[in-house]
Amino acid sequence: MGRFLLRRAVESLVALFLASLVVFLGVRSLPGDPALAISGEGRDPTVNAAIRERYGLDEPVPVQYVRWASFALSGDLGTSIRTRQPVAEEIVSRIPVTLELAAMAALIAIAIGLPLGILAAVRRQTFLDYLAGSIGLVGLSIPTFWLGLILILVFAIGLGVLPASGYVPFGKDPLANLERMILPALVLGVGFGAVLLRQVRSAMITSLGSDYVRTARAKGLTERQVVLGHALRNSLITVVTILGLELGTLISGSVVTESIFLIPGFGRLIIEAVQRRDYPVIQGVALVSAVAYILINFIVDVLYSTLNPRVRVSGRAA
Amino acid sequence: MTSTALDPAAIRGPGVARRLLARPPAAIGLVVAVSMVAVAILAPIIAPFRPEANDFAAILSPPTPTHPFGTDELGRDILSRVIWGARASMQAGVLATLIAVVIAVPIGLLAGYHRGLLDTLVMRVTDALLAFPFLIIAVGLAAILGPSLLNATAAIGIVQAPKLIRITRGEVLSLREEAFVQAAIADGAPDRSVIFRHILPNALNVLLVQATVVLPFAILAEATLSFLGLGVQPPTPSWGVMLTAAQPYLGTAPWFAIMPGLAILITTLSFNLVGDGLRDVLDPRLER
Amino acid sequence: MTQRHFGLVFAVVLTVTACGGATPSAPPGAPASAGPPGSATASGDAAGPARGGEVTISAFEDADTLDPTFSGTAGTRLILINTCEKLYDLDEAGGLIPQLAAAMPEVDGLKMTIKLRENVKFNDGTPFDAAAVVKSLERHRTIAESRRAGELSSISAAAAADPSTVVLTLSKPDAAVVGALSDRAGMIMSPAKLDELGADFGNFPVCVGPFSFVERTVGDRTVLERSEHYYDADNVYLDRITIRLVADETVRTANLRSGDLQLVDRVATTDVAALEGDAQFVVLKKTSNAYSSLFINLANANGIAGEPGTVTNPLADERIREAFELSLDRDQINQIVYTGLHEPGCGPITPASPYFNAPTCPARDIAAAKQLIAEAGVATPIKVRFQMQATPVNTRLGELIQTQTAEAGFEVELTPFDNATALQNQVDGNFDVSLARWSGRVDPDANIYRFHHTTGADNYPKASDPDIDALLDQARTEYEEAARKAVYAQLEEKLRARRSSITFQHEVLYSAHTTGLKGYALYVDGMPRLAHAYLSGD
Repeated sequence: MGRFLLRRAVESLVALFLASLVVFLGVRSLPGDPALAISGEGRDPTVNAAIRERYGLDEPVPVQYVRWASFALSGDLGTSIRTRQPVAEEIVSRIPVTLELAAMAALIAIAIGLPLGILAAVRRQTFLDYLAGSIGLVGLSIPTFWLGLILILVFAIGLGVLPASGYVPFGKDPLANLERMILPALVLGVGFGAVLLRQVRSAMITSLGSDYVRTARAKGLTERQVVLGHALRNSLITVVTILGLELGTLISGSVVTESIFLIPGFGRLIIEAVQRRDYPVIQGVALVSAVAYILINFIVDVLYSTLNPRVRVSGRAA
Repeated sequence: MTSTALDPAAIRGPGVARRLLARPPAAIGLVVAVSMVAVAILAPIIAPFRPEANDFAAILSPPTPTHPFGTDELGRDILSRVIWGARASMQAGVLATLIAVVIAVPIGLLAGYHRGLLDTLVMRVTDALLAFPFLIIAVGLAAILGPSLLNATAAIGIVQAPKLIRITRGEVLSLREEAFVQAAIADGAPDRSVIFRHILPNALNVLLVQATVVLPFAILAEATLSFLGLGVQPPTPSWGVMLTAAQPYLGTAPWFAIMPGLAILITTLSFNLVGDGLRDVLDPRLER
Repeated sequence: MTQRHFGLVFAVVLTVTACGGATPSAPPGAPASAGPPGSATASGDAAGPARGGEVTISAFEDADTLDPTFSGTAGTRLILINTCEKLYDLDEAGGLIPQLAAAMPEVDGLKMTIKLRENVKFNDGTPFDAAAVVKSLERHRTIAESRRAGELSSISAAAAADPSTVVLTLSKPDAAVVGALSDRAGMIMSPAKLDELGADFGNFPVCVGPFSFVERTVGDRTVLERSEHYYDADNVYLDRITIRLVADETVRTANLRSGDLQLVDRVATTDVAALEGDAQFVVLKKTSNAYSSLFINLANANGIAGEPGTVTNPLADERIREAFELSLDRDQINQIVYTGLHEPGCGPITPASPYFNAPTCPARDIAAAKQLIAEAGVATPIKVRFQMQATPVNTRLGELIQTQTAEAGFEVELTPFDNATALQNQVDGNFDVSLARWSGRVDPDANIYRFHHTTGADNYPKASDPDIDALLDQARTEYEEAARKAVYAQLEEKLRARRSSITFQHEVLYSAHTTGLKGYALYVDGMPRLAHAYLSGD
């Protein structure tokens, strides 16, 4: 176990290093001068030159990378070219927002996907299966931004029961916070729930057909015990694995959702930084996402391997 | 994810299609999906108007017999633009999926078969790429390559590749341990032969199913990229571009937004149905 | 959702919106007539303004920094307008009036004397005086990376003659200085706060203003609250203002309707009619100094900082250029792209400016266009690369121009790019035609010089004409309004003939607020001045 963990940890670090390289180089291949891009209207060559000088943008790329990486390792992600604020601060203020959105979306997804997936698997090929499947498919096929706009139209403008946008920190006013997060979480959670539903159904079907379950049934265990006992546990493993893999998708989906509902989260920070070519922010944000993703997958791997010893021997299962 | 190693007999052609069509949802999905592709190909023939034909006297008019879906902000027929839009969406979907598969399959095959250093490298690089929200990479790629449907398609395909690489690799890993493959290796068959005759055909099934998942996602991705302002060049229509253009008119001309949105929904739905059907048909364990 | 179902939902939506109402999120104000009746207002209230209440307004753009010296965005002005007063300001008609200055400046040769308002305090309680003004002006002029240095380039020195008089020494006559001092270059910062924060002043700006800065969450909102130190605090009524970033115009209107905003700074032209028809809202309209135009690449072959060169642009030939302009229909553009709500125009000075000369814009003439093309001997279709930032409005515009110019034989290829790439393309000369919008300044020189002078920082076409340069330099030094206007008339005629930048639209600003908000008027610069606004009733 120890050797496995060590190997995985080293691999994660390598992945992190590669990710930072990808971001650093990728950002510099985007067309457009950052000083120009953030300057808004009215080009001022003197100011642009001063900005380029201050951020070392004209130095050789390897030199820039080493400087950035060494600061990053000590926790200093630099300052935003646009706002002149420390990148780390901007990120830290946004993370809880996106985390809350992702958590709520995940809860909604699990609430939709888990019961419906189990139901569909248990009642395979019946009307209920098709119904659950259809719900899942529609959830998968709806464009996020379309759904968001429709929800605002109906709930915020039409019925006036929910605010159209904005964010209030949970600590400040829990009710107002939830009021504002429910629609965007719904938008995100629907798509995610659909994915979950299908995977849970598939995993449940597989395990319901397995030898272990047939033995359990032959031994006289009730259907409920079989389903909720063994099969469900397998589905939970699936849920956890997918949550880890789909984290990136969740943040991607949140970009559009955050833009429509005006949530000051991570997704919006990234996309706006990319559009403004704010190198330090893009690099910082990408690095933090990469760390989060790699860390989560590391944890998932560890969990998975404790639950399924065969994985440890043959390496990652998927 | 559990392996879905398959019975080699299950992949033989004719039985698949028949069994697929026997399931109503999959059959419907197949029919609709094929129709969408047909619509895209036949657009010049079946569309009543040219997609760029303006009519300033009839801006944002509601559905009428001449314009069954109404007209848009420049007086263009929405039905025709939805039909022509199928081309952009189909191209984005099919081409992006193809690109992803063409990149992913060779790399996944080699990594999963040979293991060792190559495998570790591939795993770490895909880890690194998967760590980023796809949209960021897609936006960045589209910005670097320049705005065009082709470049947006390429960006989407490239972004989907890492996931497919992992899936392919996973399949190859488990297939390698199967009895018939071990037998072939023990017989002394060269690597190339083992890969192409034994592993690839079986892995293809999983890939086929995955492709039907990637394709609708690529269609949605094109729509999202268009929503963010990258992708198809005006005045070429794509469903995503139409949704973006319709946004300011949601209150005054709702039909403008509904039709392209429905088109996306129906198309992605149909491909998902086909994918589901294929998965059910090709996995023998589900037959029990 | 089928169309019929959506229609049903929509009908429900309309009914509920019409019957219910979005109430402003403000507690009822104190009983009426707590003080003197409000100062002259656009929407006065008979009982007199009541003190109290909070208002949330939208900002269409995020501020980069709240530091007036380093700011490059309109988003900053949207916030600072209520918390950081300037030496001069605009009145409702768009003319310049003193704000922190006591009167318009006295100009004597190269000396400009500015008398200051007395008994004024910064929002941290420290006294406002000439020394503070000089300190701010010097910072704007000289600190590294200052974006105001160019605007104040004609000032060579600033000194305090006495605690309420500042004397500026100019290096050459400059009629645009007062205009510059009515924007960020004229914002005076608290010396105590400058000493404390230095280059980080933008983290907690303290100036003279009806409201003082409370807090800011970048990319989300800024909060201001009424200042007790303000010299006219008796006539300030609102307790708090929250400025929220809402970049999407559709979302802005949605939030106004849902009651999350009481004031929208910029309303999309597509939403104006619906809001005007809704009794819960007041829609304001004002012609601004902003305009949209098409840059034509004349000689930008090596980048704007490089030597002019030959470009492959077919429009580099002046006859083809003229043909291109003649195939445009400005009225139709206004009707179709902007719902007829802006104003067609053909010059960089708009009706909002006292220097507007009301030229007759060329009407569409396809026959003349075709003839010019024939004379120039160029084969049709003439391919033109038209680049722009990718937005739905720009796409509409581009497609319309494609149709209009096609009739004369042009084949316009539209290339939308993301913002940063489009800007870079302009700098690199990577365009035949580039769509541009300038948000407009109060002084005409600031709206023209940078685009049309050979050395102009935004002269992307790399157009160069010594006569035009001479007129531009002359207009800058002419203080007398009538004479200056005449110079601009001459200049604009030459600009129209050169066509390095073809203006097609003067922008009209649209703003909307709930009927409960009173004492608010829309100014030419579109900045939301809430100093004397108040809430009353519903």
